Amino acid sequence: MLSGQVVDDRLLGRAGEAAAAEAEILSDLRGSAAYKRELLRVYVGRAVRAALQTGVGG
Amino acid sequence: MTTVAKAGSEVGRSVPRLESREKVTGRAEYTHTMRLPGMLYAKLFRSTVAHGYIKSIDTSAAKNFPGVAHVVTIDDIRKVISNPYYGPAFHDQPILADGKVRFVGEPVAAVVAADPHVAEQAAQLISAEYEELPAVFDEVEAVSATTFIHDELKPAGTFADLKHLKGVKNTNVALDYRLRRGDVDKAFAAAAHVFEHEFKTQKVLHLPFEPHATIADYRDSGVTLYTASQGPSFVRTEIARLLGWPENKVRVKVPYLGSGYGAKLYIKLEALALALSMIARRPVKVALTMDELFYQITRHPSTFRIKSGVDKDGRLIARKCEVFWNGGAYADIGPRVTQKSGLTATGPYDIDNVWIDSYAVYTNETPSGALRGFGIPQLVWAYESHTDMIARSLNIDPIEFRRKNILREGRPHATGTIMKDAAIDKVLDKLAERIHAQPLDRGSGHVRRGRGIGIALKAVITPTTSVAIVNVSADGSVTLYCGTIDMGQGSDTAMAQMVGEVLNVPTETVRVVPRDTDVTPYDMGTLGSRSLFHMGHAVRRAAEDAREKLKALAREVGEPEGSNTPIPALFVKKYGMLAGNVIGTGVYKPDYIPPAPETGLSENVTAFWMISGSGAEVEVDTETGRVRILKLISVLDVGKPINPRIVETQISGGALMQLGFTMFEKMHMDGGQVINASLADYKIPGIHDLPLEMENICVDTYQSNGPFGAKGVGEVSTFCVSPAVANAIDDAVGVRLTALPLTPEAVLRALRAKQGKPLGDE
Repeated sequence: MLSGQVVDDRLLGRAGEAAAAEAEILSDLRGSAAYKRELLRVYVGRAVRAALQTGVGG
Repeated sequence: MTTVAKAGSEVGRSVPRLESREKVTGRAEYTHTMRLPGMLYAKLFRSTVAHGYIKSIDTSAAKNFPGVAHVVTIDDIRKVISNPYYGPAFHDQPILADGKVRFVGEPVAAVVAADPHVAEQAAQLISAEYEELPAVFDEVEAVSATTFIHDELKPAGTFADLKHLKGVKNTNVALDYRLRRGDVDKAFAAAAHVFEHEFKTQKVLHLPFEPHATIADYRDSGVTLYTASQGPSFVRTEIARLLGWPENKVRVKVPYLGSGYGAKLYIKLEALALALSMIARRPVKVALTMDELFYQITRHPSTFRIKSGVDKDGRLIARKCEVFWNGGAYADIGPRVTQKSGLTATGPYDIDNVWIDSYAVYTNETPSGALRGFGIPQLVWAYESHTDMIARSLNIDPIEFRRKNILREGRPHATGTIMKDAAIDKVLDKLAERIHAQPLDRGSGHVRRGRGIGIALKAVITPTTSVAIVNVSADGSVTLYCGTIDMGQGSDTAMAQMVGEVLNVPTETVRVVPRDTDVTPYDMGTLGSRSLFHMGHAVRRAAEDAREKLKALAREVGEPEGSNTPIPALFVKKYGMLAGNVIGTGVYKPDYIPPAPETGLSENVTAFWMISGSGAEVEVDTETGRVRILKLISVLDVGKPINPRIVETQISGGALMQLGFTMFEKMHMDGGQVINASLADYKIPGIHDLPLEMENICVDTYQSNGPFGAKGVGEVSTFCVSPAVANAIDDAVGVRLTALPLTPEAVLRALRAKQGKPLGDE
C-alpha cells in the first residue's frame, strides 16, 4: 500500500486502518483489542514517519 | 576500616547508614537465605477455589513421594495446637484451611522435606475436592450480600474498641467506624453547590524484594523463630497465645529485612512454621516465592463515595464520606486501617459539618492489610480528586480553593482534636511555589501538558508503646537495644544518632543490637511511620537515663560536678578495674483519648500529624493516552529531619512506589483468581517510569512533642501522588479518571468518550 507512494497524512491514516483491519488482536490484561487496534493505527503512521525522517529502510 | 567521626551535633547530620557496608558486600543476614542444621523445608498446596467447603484432601501421592517427611493438613495441626486460629485484630485465620476455603491461593496443605524441591514437587501431587459456595469479590456488594465469608466475627481482644463485634453473625462487615460532627444534611440544604463523586482503587501489593520467610525451631523447653517480621513483639505474643505458654519461652529473632512496606506486620507465616516444627520436631522453614506473595497480603481496594457542600464564597461547609475497604478473606489489620485512617477521610480541610462511615468488609480475595500509608493513599486519591473537581467546576484556581479551606493551626480537625504542629499551610504554599516555578508550555497537536496537586494529612496510629535500653560498658562504648526493625528505612542509623546526641559520642561508634525478643525490649511494631517518633522518644529517654546514671557514678566516685574524667576512669574508680555497666531504660507511650463510639470525636486522637503534598506535571499523548511524568514534587512536614539524606531517600522511594500504584500496578482478578500473579505480568516501576525530574522538599518545621523536633516520614510521600497525577491529566486534556490505575487505555477511553467517539468494549 505504501510502496512507491508519496507519504501524506491521508495515506498513513489509510495504512494504519489497513494494518488494524488485518492484524489479529486479542484482549488481555495488557489492554483491550479495541485499544491495541487504536495504537496500531497511530503507530503505523508514526513509525513510517520516523523511518523516513531517519532515512532508515529507504 | 576504622571509623572516624566527631562527637556533637549528631542529630541533623547525614550519617551514612551503619549497615551499608555489610549489605553491599553481601554479608548482611536475611531470613530468606538463612539455614539451620537439620532444617526441613515446607511448601504449600493452595486452594483453586474462591469460596467452598473442603470435601476431601488427597495427600496419598505426596506422602509416598520419596524424600517427603510430612504432609500436613489442619487435622494434623489441631493435634499440636488445639485452637489454630490467628490474627492481629480478629482470630479469624486458620493456620491451614479448616473445612472451608475463602480465597484462591489459601494454604490447604503443607509438605515438609529436607529438600525444598522435593517438597515443591510433592505439593503438586496433592488434590482436593470442594463444594463450591457463591463467592463475593466487590467490597460494596459484600456489604449486602447473603453469602457470608465467616460464620461469625471473632475479634482478638487486642483492641478494646472491637470487643462489641464478638460473635456477630450474618455479616461481611468486620468493622463499621463512624464520625459525626455538626449537621451535614442541614448544611447540604443550605449549600450553594453540592458535589458528589465515587472513586475506586485497585488491588495492589507490597512485593518486598525479600519475600516472607520464617524458620521455627520448636523444643519442649521453648521455641525460637527466625523471621522476616516488622513486629517481633507481636509475633512473640501471638505464638505464646497459640501455645498457651508464657512469652519468655518464645524467642523471636529478626535479622535485616529485604523491605516490608507493611507486608510483614503482625503475624504471617510464623504460626504455620511453628506448627510444622512441632510436628516434624526439627527446625522448619517456610519461605514464599515472589509469585506466592500474591496470596499472602495486599493493599485494600476501596470504594469511596464522597459528597461536599460549598457556600457561595467557595467555603466547604459539609462533607459526607462513605468508604468501603475490601479486606479480603481474613481481617488482618483491616479494621485498624478502617478506623485509624478512616477518621481522616474528610482531608486536611476545615469543615464544620462532617459525616464519615468507614467499613472493613470481608470478600473472597487475598487478605488486605497495611501498605505504606495504612489506607491513607486510597482516601487521598478520592478526596483530592474530588476537591480538585469542585474547584475546576466552580472556576476557582485549585490551589486558591484549597488555601481557602485548609485546616490551620489551632482549628479543630473533624474529630475535634485541635491541630498542632501540622504545617498544612506551609506545605501548600511551598507546593504552589514549586509547581509554578516555571511557566507551563501546554503543548500542541497530540502532545498536551498540565499540572496538578494534592495535599493530605495522616494521624499517626495512637496509642502505641516502645521500650528501649542503652548500655554503657566500662570502656565507654555504647550499645542500643531497640525493637524497631531496620527494613531499609535507615532506622538503626537514626536511633544511633539520637543516642550519640544525648551521650555525646559519634553515631558510628554506637552498636545497635540485632532484634531478638530475648534481648531487645517491647515495641508495637515498625509500622505507620511511628518508629522515629515513638521509639525515638524511648531511645532518647534511655540515653538520658544512662547519662544521668553516669553523672551519679561520677558523683559517687568523688568527681566534681562537670568533670570531664573519661568514662572508663569512672568505672575503674568504682570497681577497681574495667568492669560493670550503666544501663539506661526508656519507655514511651503518648497521651490519647479514644474516640467516642457513637460520634468518633476525641480531643486527642493522635500523637502527631503527618502532612504531605505532591505536585505533578504531565504530558499526555492524546492519540495513545500515554502519560509521561515530567516532574514530581513532594513537599512534606516531617518536623526536623534527624538524618536529612535518609529522609530524602525515603521521600523519593515512597513517591515512586505510589507512582507505580498510580500508573499501572494492578492485580487482575477473574472469579477470584489472580491472573497476573508473577513479576512477569505484574509490572512495578522501572527506570523508564521515573519522572524526568523529582523535587523532594521538607518545609522548615519543628515537631514540638517529637524527639529532637522530629516525626515520621516513611509513608508520607505516598499520600498525594495519585490525585496529583489525575488532576494534572485533567488540567492537560480535560478528562477525569475516577479509578486507579491511570493506564494509557483508561486515559484514551476517557478522551474518546469526551470526543463522542468512544472506543469499543472488546
